[in-house]
Amino acid sequence: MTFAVVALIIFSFLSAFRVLIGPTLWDRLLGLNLVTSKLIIIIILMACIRMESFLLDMALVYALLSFIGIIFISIYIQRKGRF
Amino acid sequence: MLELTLLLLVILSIAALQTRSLRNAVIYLGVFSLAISFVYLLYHAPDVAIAEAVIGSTIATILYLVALQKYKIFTIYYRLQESEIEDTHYFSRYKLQLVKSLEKFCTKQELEAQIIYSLEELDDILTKHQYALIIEEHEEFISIYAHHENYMLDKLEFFLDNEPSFIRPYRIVKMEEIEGEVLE
Amino acid sequence: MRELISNIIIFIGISFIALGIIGIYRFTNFYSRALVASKVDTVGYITIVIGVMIRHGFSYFTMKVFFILLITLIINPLITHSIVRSAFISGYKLRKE
Repeated sequence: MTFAVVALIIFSFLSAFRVLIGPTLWDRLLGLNLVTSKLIIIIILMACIRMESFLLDMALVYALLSFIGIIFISIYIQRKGRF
Repeated sequence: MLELTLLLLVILSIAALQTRSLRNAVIYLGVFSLAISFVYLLYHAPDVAIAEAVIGSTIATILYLVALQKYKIFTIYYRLQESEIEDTHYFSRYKLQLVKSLEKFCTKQELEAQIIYSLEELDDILTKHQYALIIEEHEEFISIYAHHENYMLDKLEFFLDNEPSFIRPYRIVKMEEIEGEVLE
Repeated sequence: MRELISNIIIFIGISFIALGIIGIYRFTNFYSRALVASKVDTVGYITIVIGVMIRHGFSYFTMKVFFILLITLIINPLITHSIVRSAFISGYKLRKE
């Protein structure tokens, strides 16, 4: 289980590197989505290790919030700067 | 694993300060707030982590975007040949130099540059899309097409003449002239 | 016994996510990158969460995890669709074959 958490942290680091080097804006958005989904899995695994079920509420909050944020940014880009 | 996340935080904050495009900085800050809330979680403070995720990742992003509506978007179409659309050509040296100096110009004029790499024909872009500049690359010079009422054009010419890192020859074509007869 | 099965399933899920990470560096076009990243990532997510659910048996914890799985299954394709739609409308054109 600890191996899984360490591997997922390395993967999210690599996804964040895609955010840094991505040639266009949409590559960066894709990297943001990947980082968020990997972070949710990490939180679920940590809740499983520590046996604290309130960490799952955090995972739920993260999932809903990332949805709102990424949808807003992509609509902002699509309409060329207006909502 | 804590050290790795802290290293990522340092890299992301430096990138968010150094970038010229403000929309990239908003995305960097989104990743930054996610990472820092994970650090709070590792320090056994989940309530702080929830507050950071709500404020930093959602409300701050939307507030920044609403504030960025004040900036005008300066749309630049970059016409490419079909073989050039792969990733490695985005990082070719001349292109990077031109794009960087254009972004510097836009930052000086308080505009937000949006550069679109496109494969369409010139006439298609002229009729279908709203553009500020269209850039086309030839063997020995670069041609920049612009609408004839574009009031940024004189400032752009002045800027490119005085830019020391931009050395390639270029010519500016105003689009009204090209319909009747081409003036060099 | 149940722990062994869940460990194997979680390992399979991590290898799926590793394939997705290789994909976003190997492909040179944006659309193929979006395709491989979202699909492989969703598969890895489902597999890991099923592994966690098997490990805990039938309890309150499992119900919460199942709820998160349900929400993410709805949200993840929506996010990818909105990003790719924004890229297509803003003029990031696919190379003609």
